[in-house]
Amino acid sequence: MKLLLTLALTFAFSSFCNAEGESSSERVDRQGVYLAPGWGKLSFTAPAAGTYTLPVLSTASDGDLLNTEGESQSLSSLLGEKVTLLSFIYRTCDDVNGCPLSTMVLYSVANRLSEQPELADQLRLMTISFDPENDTPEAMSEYQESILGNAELDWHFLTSKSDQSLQPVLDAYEQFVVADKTVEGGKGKFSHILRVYLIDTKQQIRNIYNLSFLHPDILVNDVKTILMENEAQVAQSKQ
Amino acid sequence: MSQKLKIFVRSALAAMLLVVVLPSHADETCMSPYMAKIVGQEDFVYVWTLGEEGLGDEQDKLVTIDVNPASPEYGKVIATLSVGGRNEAHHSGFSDDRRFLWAGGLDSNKIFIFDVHSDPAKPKLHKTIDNFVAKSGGVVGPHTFYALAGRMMITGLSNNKDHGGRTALVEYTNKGEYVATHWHPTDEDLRGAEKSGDFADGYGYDVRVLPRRNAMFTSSFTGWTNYMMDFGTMLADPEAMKRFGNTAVVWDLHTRKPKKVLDMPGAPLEIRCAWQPNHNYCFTTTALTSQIWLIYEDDAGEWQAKAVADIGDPSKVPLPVDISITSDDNGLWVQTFMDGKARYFDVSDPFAPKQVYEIEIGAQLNMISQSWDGERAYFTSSLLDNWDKKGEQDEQFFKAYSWNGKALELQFEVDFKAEKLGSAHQMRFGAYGLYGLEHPYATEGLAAGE
Amino acid sequence: MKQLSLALCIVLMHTTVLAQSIRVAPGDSREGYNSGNYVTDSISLELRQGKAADLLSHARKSHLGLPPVQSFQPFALEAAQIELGRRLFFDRRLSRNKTMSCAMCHIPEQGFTSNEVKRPIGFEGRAIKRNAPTLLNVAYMQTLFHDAREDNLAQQVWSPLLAANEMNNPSVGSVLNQIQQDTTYRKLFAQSFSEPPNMLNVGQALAQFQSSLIAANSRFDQWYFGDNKAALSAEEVTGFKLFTGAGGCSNCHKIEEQTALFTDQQLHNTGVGYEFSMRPSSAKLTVQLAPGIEAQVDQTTVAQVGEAKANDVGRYEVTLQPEDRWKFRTPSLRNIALTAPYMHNGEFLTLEDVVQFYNEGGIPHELLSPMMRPLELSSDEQAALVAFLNTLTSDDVALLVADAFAAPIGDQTE
Repeated sequence: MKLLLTLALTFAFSSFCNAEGESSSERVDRQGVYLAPGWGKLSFTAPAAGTYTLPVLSTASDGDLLNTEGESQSLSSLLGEKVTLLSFIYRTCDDVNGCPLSTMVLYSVANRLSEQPELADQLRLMTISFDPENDTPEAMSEYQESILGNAELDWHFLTSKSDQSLQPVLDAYEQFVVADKTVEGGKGKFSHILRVYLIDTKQQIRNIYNLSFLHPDILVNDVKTILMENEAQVAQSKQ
Repeated sequence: MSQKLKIFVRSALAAMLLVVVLPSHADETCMSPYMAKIVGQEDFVYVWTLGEEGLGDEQDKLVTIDVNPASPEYGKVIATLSVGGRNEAHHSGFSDDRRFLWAGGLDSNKIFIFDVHSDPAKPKLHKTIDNFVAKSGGVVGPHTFYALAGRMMITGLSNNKDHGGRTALVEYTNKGEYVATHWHPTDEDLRGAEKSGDFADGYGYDVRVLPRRNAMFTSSFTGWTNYMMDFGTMLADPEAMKRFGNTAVVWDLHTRKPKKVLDMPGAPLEIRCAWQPNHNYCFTTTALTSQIWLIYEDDAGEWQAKAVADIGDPSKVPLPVDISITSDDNGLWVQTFMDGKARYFDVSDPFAPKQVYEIEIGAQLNMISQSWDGERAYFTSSLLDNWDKKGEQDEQFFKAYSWNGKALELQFEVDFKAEKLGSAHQMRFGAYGLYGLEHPYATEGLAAGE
Repeated sequence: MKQLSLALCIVLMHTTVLAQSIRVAPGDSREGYNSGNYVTDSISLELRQGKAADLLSHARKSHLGLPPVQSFQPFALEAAQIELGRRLFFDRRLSRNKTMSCAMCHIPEQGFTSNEVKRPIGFEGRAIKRNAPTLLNVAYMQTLFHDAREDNLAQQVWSPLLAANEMNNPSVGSVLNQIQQDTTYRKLFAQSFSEPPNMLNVGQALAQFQSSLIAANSRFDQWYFGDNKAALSAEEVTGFKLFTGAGGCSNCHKIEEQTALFTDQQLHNTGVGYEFSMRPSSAKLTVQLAPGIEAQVDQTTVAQVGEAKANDVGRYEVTLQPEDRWKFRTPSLRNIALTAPYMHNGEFLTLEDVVQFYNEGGIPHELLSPMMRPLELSSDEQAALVAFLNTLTSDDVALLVADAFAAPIGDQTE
């Protein structure tokens, strides 16, 4: 599975993005199952960076988390330095339009920005597990490796000590997670609403993405929009 | 698609088929495509109800009706939650995670946020927003509550300067914090939009989106003075009758910028967009001129609007109000207030809707909510407190019907006057299964996404 | 029916190059709506900017055509009290459900009345049976309300605050408590009156602000009192001669030697009220559905969705004297072009309709004022009268509207 995910991510940036011809059609697989827009070519042109504003939604909340070394890591200590994309996942999630999608899109965004030297170092990715029981720091470390491989990306994989320490973070980011009882055994699967957060260097949430808008084209332009706003502020303060 | 990726996707999908996943791109046919939907049997209908002077406790309330035939309480009002005051209760909408129901008052401008997930059978008042006007920069009449990712898009109907129809869309976070105000384009400030015809009135009413086209659509009604006024008095006031919206606006959904103002004479109200992947169009109906309008993307990728059918006899002013599109995009329910009729149009050719069925539901009729499979349809009576019929014709009801594709059959009804509840307005569906809860009686038909 | 243009655009020069255009007319023009050629001309609320005026100086200065306002009010004009009254006037929290301020019916850019409706709408949409009178030059009115039931501006304010179908406050005390809750008001009342808000000082503050809404020095004033012979056109001069001569208008809408209030401060029966009460309604109602689109709707259909209209016997309702039936107060005609629709019930939408009504001699019945008689004016003469009425508009209205746009609107902030 890990291998497959890595492969999927690798291909997502190359052939997959060109695989879909029709700009107006939704993607479905051979069984007719819906594939989120993020898996293919965006069916419209993403608005150009800097031509719009992203209003401040709220302050990005802090949280007590664990890094892949098993060390305590506050969420806020990772915010503020760079524009950040934050996703919530659980490692064993296999909903094609769920966690794998958000991981692929984040990877793709970072990869695209890394190709532009002036933007390469400006983005941080954060992925937080909401399944602390199964997603131990060791497991997250493996997960990180399976995704990053040799790629050098500023991507932090985080988990938490327990459901109790995680819950305030889930509440703050309104990640509504329900253990899914319809799965046999009732264990290890979750229902959750897919959300990815764009956080600026003032630790403010500037956008929230769901299935329909979680696409590299859009996220790249949103990140650039924030970076352009930062530059403009710097320029203004120098005047 | 590459072979390796296909393998990955297929294995992921194979696993997914076993799983009931909440996040989804669809809902019962009226709501945000972002939201979890109930594809099976709904357990509850929440009715946002106007308090009536001299009736019961005289104030607005959220009424919960049990609609699951497997429940011993089927057909009964199982909870009421009074909120204080007559706020001109009107529309409501769930947050994108469907845990909260936002309900607005067009007069008081209060927004009531109900917790519907802790106990779906007994909603609780979670929060009241009473500074909407001040926060939004003067927007009055919070109307449609439309869930976007992590936030709520609210349409206004009026403003605090002249109580006329110029207004804005207002964005809030799911937590109930103000985010931004997006004013409708006016002649003085088109805000980058193209005025494609004669009108750019700046009025608002409903909002819907087609995310796959990055498009958002708004319609236009009238300001506080008219929607609060006695309907008969307004009809006899030629000045007041000039103050209706005649436009729909196409917006860039991602940037919230208006792109094109479309002429649509006679107050276009509810907008319902098609569900099917290649159906890049939405329907709306004009209340005063009694027409079905199609907003569609032409071959050149331009958004256009066209009147595609009359509703009843427009010269008799039947007043089409709520509409609802079926999940297969083949049918459109259109309710006409004055004659109390539900009308079913075959819209399989969206450019040529044909009415194929009609039935009188009551002396007056406004809202419809249909199940995702289209087999159940619920109707309520109230339009606006002072627009509703007077005297004996002011029937106030909730009626549950089944639909077999040919005819509606009444299952049960709740007389909102006899039960001293008030005037029944908008409906939203609830279900235990949305929140991982089991129905205490029913064993089947849990809610499901996808 | 010809629609009269109400638009009056004045450019106020700010201290620098910034120029702000103030439209003294509804913000989304519906001029020509009856025709299929209607196009919108809506202005942006987001870009709307005002400019605070020195209202005390404005009230105190000499206004060509009007006497000093001070002699008409029992209190001395004071800047702090005007400012406080202005804040109260635009405060929507001063109604029971916090949605109605004075300004929601007396809308500044609509001539401090409501152009968009015959009769305004109050609390929870309840009907008000008479047209909102303009507040421009209200300080000069010796009596208030269309039935002249009040004679003191400071007392008058409590009627709309407490009327069940207007602002619907349950008591005087509840209004005072609402005001008292606001820290800004506590401070302003202490500064202005050296005491907390009470029934008298709230009335006086609102009266102070309304007394500053003076708008004269019209083209007519410049021509008649200011000796500017070029101020009126020949047609307008003809209209003036008819107004004071064959039309008999100035019998009630008085013009004195030095000043002109355009009212005799009396009540008269023109038959408008009689007809509204006594005339059977027609079987069909013409309803405009959209620009250039009308429908004929059965009155029985209208009755299904309409409350019975409130009856109105005019001054009789105050005195209970049968001879006072359907008598209403003579309004001033200053700024009349800005204050449509017309008459105590707003039944006439244009000045042309009003002039035609008087030309026909009103509605015959036994209580009709003996001054009412068919005038037998030609259509040109009627047009000249209308032209004259349009010369009564003051440039100062734009200043007052700009000031109103700069005023804080009181909405709930918590």
